[in-house]
Amino acid sequence: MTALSDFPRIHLLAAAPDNGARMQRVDPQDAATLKQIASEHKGTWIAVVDEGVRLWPESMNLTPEPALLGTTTCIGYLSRNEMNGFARQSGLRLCRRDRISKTGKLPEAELLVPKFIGHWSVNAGPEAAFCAGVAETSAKVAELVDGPAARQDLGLWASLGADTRNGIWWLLGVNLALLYPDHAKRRWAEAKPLSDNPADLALWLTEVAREVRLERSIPVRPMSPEQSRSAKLMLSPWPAPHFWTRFAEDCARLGEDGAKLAADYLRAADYIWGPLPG
Amino acid sequence: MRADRQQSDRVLVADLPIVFMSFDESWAEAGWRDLKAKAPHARRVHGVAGLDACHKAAARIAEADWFITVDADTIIDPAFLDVKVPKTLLNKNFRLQWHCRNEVNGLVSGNGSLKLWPTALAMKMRTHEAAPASKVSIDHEIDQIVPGQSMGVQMPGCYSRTNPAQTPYHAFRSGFREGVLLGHLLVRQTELHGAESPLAEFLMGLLRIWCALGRQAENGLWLIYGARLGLRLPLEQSDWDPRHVNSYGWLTEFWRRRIYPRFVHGGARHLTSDNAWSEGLLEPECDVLKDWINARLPIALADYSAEQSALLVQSGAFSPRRPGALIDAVGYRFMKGAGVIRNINFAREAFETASVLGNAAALNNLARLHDSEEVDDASPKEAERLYRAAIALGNRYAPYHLAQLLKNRPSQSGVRKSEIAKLLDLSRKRGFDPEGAAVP
Repeated sequence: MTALSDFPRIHLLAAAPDNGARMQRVDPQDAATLKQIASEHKGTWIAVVDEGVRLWPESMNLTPEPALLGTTTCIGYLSRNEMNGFARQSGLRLCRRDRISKTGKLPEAELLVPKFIGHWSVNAGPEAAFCAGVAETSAKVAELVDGPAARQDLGLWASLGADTRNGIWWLLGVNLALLYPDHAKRRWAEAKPLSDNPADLALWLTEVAREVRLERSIPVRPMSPEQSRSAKLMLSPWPAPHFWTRFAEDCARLGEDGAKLAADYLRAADYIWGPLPG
Repeated sequence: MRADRQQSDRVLVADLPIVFMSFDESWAEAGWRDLKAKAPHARRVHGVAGLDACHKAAARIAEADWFITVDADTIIDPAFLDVKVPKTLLNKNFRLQWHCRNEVNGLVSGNGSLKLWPTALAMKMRTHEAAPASKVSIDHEIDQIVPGQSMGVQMPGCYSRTNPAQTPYHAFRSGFREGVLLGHLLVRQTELHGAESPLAEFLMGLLRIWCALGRQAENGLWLIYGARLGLRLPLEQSDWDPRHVNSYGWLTEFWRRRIYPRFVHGGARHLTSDNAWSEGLLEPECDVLKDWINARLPIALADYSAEQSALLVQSGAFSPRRPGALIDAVGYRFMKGAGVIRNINFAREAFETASVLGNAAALNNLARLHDSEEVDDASPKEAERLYRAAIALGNRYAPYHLAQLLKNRPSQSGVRKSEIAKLLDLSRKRGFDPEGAAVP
């Protein structure tokens, strides 16, 4: 067994369709089914594809390092938010079969490899895209420490996405979440009637973005589909520096082989992002 | 130089000669003062026409075996002086470089980068205006100075920033030269390997930024216009000589006669001022160039407002895009001892670093080190694992080498023979067939 494609694969419900012959769809809360799946397979590891994630075929050719597979740690790979190109901590998890078998639960990723394995999106309809925009933005804001860098980050986060399916609804959800952190989701009732009138929807987005700039000091500038598509192609193909730092810290705790792998990753990060703090 | 520095296996950048190179940049004095404040031992070359001649002048003034060059529009980060360069890399055939961040468009690339030159190599090169008349040379092309031995080595980290757009002319010149260079390389790559080759995609990635971002900066629109025009010329006019960009005299005339007057209300009568140009005249020309480029290249070029451009440029979300291949190339030199003293440990570390970045060739090279028992902890099992990882990522050589590894194992079951045959078939399909017709 070498590449990620060789592992038996579970797709959590609402995961994007995939034609992989070895995949099964599972409700993550369904302990009995999870235990049954774990008992049906023979290998040590099972790959779990998180909800809303569409794997890139080429990423399945990645081979996890032995230092990672020699542990009982749940290993996570990142996905890329299809709407705005940002990294998302869920993607694919390699879980020990015996852990699933014993508990009937899927462990959370305990170590995140700074590599993207696919796109994440929940944008099949306007409401799904709007709600995803609200939820993802709330989660992102909770992660950030307020300051100029965080605002800059949020500005870009809230400007990209118009090139994707229902992207304008995503953008509206994102910007409303920045403007009304506590009750953005309720604004769907106001937004929904605009689905028949794209021009009004675009105007509302422009107005909300203006208010976000003025009231939250976040430099959001919603981009057109053409601008958004091109801008996402400019972004680094690798996750941001903090993912590398965190991986190296977690990896160094995995013994001698882990420390060696951490050093390899930090050297690689030096070439992408320059010397990382610490 | 302190004794502890001399004894180390690394050399401190602060102990190396640094040369500031300026030509006609009106801000050069400020840049020179900034560098002198940070590195009092820095020297300066000013007004030497021609990039080849300018670097040779820098080599001479350095009076040492090695020297670092700083372009007039580049500001160094003081942390650069604390960088320790492995002596293994201080090789007469290696020109080292550290990426530079362009303040106008946010790009982190070799443009404006800090470079560490072996003096002898700089004196030997014949590029730009010094290249033979039959050769189109618009870059240093380090690998061609001593074919098979000399090479440009990308170093980790980014310790400088550049602002080449401090006047409309210099912004145009910088964008135009880069557009011509990248366009020229793109044409060559596309002819050799097709528009979807990794290098062609890499070049288009650079062009996408040069041709789109910078409107938030003073004179940034000129940088964009220059890059777009520079890209268009070699693509559109096969008889246009890209070597024009080697001559600052030609570029100045081009600017004065053909470019600037078109964007000044009232034309040549107002050419005395840098500020006479009209954005209202320049914008439509930029649009025309964008449409022309998008119609011919899968580059997805877009226009951004000043605010949108600032958002992207200041995001810090751009990074060098293909360091894996460059790191693997250095490792390969040390593995083979090509132009350097063979150093397997150094090669191994380079391959391990490049492997993290998904470089399939590095995985194959690491496997070779294990397979040929050149590393202390060589293991056939690890060689097999690495070959398989390289095969999965599409490396063309790994299937053949893994087949040889499996062939050499004592027991040859039917399953193994079948796998060997499949691997050899895959190797042929990927274009590597050293046994030629002898292989059934």
